[in-house]
Amino acid sequence: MSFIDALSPFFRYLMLAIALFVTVRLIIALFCKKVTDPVRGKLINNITQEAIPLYDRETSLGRNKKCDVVLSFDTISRLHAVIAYRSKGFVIFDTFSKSGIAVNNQKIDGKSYLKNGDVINMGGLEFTLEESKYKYIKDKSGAFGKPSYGVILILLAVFNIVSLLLNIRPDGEYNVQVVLTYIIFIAMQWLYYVFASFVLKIYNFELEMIGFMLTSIGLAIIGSMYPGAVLKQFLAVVLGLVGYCVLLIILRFVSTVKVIRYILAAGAIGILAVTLVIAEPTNGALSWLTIGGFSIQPSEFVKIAFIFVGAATLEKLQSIRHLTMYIIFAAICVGELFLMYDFGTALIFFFAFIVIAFMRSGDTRTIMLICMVAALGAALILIFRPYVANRFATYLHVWEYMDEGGYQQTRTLIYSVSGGLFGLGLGNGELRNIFAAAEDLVFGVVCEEFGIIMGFLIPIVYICVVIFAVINAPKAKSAFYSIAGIAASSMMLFQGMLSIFGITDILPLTGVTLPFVSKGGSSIISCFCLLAFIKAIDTRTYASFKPQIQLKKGATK
Amino acid sequence: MKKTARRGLVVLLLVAVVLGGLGFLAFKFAVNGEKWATLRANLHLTEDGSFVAAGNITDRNGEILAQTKDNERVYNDSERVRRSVLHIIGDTEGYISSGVQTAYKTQLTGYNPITGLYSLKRYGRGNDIKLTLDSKVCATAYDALNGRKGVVAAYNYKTGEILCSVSSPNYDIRNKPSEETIQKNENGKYDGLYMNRLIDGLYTPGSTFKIITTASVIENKADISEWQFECNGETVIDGVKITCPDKHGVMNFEEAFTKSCNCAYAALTDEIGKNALTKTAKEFGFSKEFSFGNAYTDASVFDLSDAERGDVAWAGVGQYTTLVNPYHMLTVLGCVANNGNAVLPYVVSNVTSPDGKILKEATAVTESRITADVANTLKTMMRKNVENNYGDGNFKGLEMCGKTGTAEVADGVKPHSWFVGFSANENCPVAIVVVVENGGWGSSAALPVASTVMNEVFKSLS
Repeated sequence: MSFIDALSPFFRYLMLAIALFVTVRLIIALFCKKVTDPVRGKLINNITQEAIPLYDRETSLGRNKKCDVVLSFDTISRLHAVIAYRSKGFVIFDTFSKSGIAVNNQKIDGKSYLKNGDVINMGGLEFTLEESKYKYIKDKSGAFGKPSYGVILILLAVFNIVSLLLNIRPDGEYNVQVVLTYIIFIAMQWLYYVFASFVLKIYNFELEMIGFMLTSIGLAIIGSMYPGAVLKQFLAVVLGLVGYCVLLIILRFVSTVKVIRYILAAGAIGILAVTLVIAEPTNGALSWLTIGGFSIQPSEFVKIAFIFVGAATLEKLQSIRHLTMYIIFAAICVGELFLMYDFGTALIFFFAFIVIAFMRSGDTRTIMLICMVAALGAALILIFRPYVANRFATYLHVWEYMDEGGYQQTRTLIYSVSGGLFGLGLGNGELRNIFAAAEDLVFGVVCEEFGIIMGFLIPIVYICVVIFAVINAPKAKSAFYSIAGIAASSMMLFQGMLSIFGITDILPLTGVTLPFVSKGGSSIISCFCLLAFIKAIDTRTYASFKPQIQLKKGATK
Repeated sequence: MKKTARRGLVVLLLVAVVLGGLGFLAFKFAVNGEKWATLRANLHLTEDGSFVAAGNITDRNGEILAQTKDNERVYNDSERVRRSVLHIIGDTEGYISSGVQTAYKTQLTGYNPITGLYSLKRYGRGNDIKLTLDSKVCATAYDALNGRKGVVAAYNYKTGEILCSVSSPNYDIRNKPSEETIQKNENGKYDGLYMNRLIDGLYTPGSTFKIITTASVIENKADISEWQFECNGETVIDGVKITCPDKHGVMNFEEAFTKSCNCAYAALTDEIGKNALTKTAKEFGFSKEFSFGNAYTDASVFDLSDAERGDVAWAGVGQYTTLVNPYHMLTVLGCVANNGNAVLPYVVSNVTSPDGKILKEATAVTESRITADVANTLKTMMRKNVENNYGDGNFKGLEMCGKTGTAEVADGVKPHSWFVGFSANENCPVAIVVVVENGGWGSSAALPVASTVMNEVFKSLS
């Protein structure tokens, strides 16, 4: 296959160019999309005629300054009520009010559905609900906003075909499994595109395609390093994508998440406990379960439950009791991870917990207190289990322990710079021969073989996704989406940070995988599922699902 | 719950931290890239710890001195050549730190921050380096040293090209003595084995320093042509006795140089004083480190700050605490030979990529040090010195100018033997420095070596 040899100098530029174009184009699309925020109804004060606009997301009313609508009357409780816009129309929830709420002069018990013209009484104030005439608003993508997904899928296919060609050995020999996997991976991307368009009614694919792009980089490396593992990795991508679609459907029905979250919470604690009991130590951690020949890392799946449970508080958002329960849940999860010696994942969970707890309470003091307790806990661990500190012994001294504790880090640094900006070409690296190269050290492999530009592109992509989540969170259709999307995107960035900075001796922790890129089935499944939370924050995702009540009433379009 | 969602802004803190970290990482890559990529631990470059990625190293005539064949570093076929160029070529393990294979590691591997080691991967080898050395002359110099410790170096004082540089002791890189043997160092056989004496050596200059003293006297004593001195074999300055091996009798300045009379020079030094002499020494480049490719030379030492009058007098005849680096001595000779302008010697002629592109070409650096008048007066004196003292028979056709030195180093140890000089023949603009450690008289040990090497140089240039 001499033509491949002849083309290989060109291939490395081609792969970099595709990765740069695809990610930049998709990120521009994400940032340029117009975020619409339609007013679904108004609450009109019957005396002052003041109107309170109601949106897709929940609106909280009360005396407390943290409420969206502050009603400064002594008769109003601090957190009096929440009005939400659900699939059956407006719902009012009584949230810890002392004087209660009456709808059409009937005192409600917990919650009540509302219809146009209903009169709501709370603490002596009287409001009338006025529903907007329904107008189905499809979010526009803006001038640069709508990329041609066909072109992007073609570019992704070219990238994967180049990976395939580079896997053919100079003597023309190739591994059937690898070649087939790349081909069905390309087919899967198109299949998803069609399926999502017609069944899920999704018309925007930036996030998924960013996921495909990063996965393609990972698969290229895995295919050339472990031809026998590439099919497994691909199947995990498929499972991840299935999980992604299922989550998208579940997340659509905001009211059902309440039930699910208890199941997930119990499941999360349970599966971690089971792992803790029956797992055999692997590389010093108890985080792997082997079932029927497949090794799975339950903590990866618990990530999804962890965010789901944390974000799914809905109208009970500001309740202290609910936050306390979440703190207990989080403490159990993080504690179990500590007992597994899986410190990297424990830290990631703790980070996500802090983000969620802060978003829910807005209370810096509580967060500080939690952090201090956590620091104290960490200090106690170091006192009673001093050998844990050995893991940090070479931190910032890796060059002095080049062939001992600092082996992975120094080799990552040496080979990352050896690749230069454009890399040595897929398969030409040396770092790949070092333990855990495709998992923990994959950033270094990308730098060496695809170039430092490609290496840095990956965390930049995570960052852009986080910024996208931050921009979109205030307009999301529910606070649940806002919290889950922010938590999921920042968790991904945090994990990427630990992975990259850990192996480059900027942070003292190694053994964390790079989201979407590293080899590892559980990790890739979890990444695609987390992506669903970020997708839900995007107002376009559920734009095509019209609320049922409007349809019943035959509202004008 | 817009207010809730707005709290999501807090994760921008994480974004800032990650951006900062990435910036720091990029900075680390930019600053340390070259150092890390060329580490021996990098398996792109090494095979069993040996630096096989380097390209060819050739001498000025294209003779291959080192190359990689079948993932092994191989050297010139002649043991004489291998030994003579050992310190310039260096080893692959980095013991000889100033050697080209270590100091020019980056150039030899073809590493650059933009493409990394891609060129090495693509062509299977790094860049080639062409040296200014003439391996034949080097081998001759190695033979002439005949196993004695010391250094022989010759360079073209018009262009700066070093034609010959041999440092001894050395070893055959093909059969390196075991580390144990080297550590044992029987009879001091391996003293400073890994040191290139040309750039890292520092020797008491003895009478060769009289070149600098002479320059200072010409610069500072207007009536020097009328000056006369009577040598009785010893003289006392400020209570310090200065001795000569013979009673030289009455002489003028030129004769004092030819006879290398310590008493005369002590008196002259005492007369011009330590400030004048220090100034001249500085002009000649004392206390200065010269860059030698990617390494630096040791600076010659000349420090009279605590010297009494007697010490100054001894310094004037090249003793006291003065130490001279052989590379620096080459520049001193180059300066005298070339009208006061020293062209600095270099050894790497060019670096070529595997596809034949010249990536780096040496450019000569010239330092103006003394006036042409002073230089030419000195040149005449040195020429007469060879004519009348050592005899032109040693340097046929070369119009050799020169000075020997016999540097006392310690009681009971033979002095270091020096010869420094240059050919005034336009067809052979070459300066030479020879130091034979503990070789005895300059004229008996160093002079014959210089004679052999200069004749070989002359042959190679004509």
